[in-house]
Amino acid sequence: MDESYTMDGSILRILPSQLTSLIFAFLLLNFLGGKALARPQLDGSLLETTYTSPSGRLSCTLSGIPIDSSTFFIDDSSNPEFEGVSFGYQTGESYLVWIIRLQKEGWKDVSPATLDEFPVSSNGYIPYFYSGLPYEISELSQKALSEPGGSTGLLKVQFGSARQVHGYWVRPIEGWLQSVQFLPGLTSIPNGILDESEVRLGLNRMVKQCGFTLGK
Amino acid sequence: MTNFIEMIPYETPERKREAAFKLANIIGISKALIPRNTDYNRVVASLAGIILYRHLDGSRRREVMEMVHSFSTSHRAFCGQMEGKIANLLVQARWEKWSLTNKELEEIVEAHRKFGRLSSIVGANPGAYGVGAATWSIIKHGASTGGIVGFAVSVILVGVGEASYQQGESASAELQSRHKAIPANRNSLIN
Repeated sequence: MDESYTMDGSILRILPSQLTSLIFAFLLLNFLGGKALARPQLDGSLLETTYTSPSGRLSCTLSGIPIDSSTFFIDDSSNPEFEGVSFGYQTGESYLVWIIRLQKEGWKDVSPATLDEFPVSSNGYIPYFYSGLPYEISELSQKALSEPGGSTGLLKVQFGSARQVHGYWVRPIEGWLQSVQFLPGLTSIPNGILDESEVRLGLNRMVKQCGFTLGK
Repeated sequence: MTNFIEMIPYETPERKREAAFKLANIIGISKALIPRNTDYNRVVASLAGIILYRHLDGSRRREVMEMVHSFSTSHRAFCGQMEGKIANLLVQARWEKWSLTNKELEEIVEAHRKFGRLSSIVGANPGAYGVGAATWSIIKHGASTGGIVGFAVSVILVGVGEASYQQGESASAELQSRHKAIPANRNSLIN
């Protein structure tokens, strides 16, 4: 009989070699549990400076983002066909917001106000987003990515006297659409309006710091 | 000017300052960012407008955005977070549960109730049995690849069941908090 199962009275004897496995299982359970408790308001987790979505398909390194600032926010959402995270903070006269999302291609969304259905496609992704905002939009630049169907661009956004430059990066891959949007808040204070190079920098920063993993 | 506060499915305190804090809490904006020494009617109207935003036509959306942007100079972070909340709603309709209609919430509760019923037919959460068996197997035979894979799959199954339960509970709690309020705000737009 294997000694490891032997019961001496009511005490289970575990050999030292098996203790390692038990500790491994204990740590794994604690690690998974800890992730869920780290930020109860998030579906995913924020451990130190890394956000990971519930499925693990989407992760962002938030190094350089002041996550302890009183102006910082982070919010996420997930379902089998969508994962997204948004976060932002104030710096000087600007409030910077990023939205990172991964969405199943072809999935229909419905606007409750109009009951219109919108296909999720690489062409419709960004126009659909701006169709819900009462802003005047004009294109400043647009460039195709090396991946087929992918694009990145800058938009001039205006609402009354407030204005701003927004950036986007979208690419379709394996039936999914991935996107990074950089949305500094609109403002009428000249110091708060970012120039094109600053927006491109902010956009590319999260394109680099956010990873998408498919096939899970 | 549209009276958005009358249309939301939440009961709010009479005093606008308290109403502002309550609505900010519902939406998930930090209390610290709510403007002090200000016209709280404007704060409350902006927050109520955000709750209703998905259900408004173009001209009312413009009205909400004008109120939100009226804080852009004096309270940059408050305005920025309100803009961020609106962006979330446009990206994914179900991102924020406070923006859902009662019907949408009821559909979520029903979907998760069905999932829960299926689990109870199978016999509690099958993943939980798997975790127990896989943990015992790892203790007994050491951490073999098969044992770890079995353990991981079972943990994922438990997670799916737990996530479904939590989402259903969350939607149900949201509905209950609204049911208390509906008689107070009879003009609720999102029923």
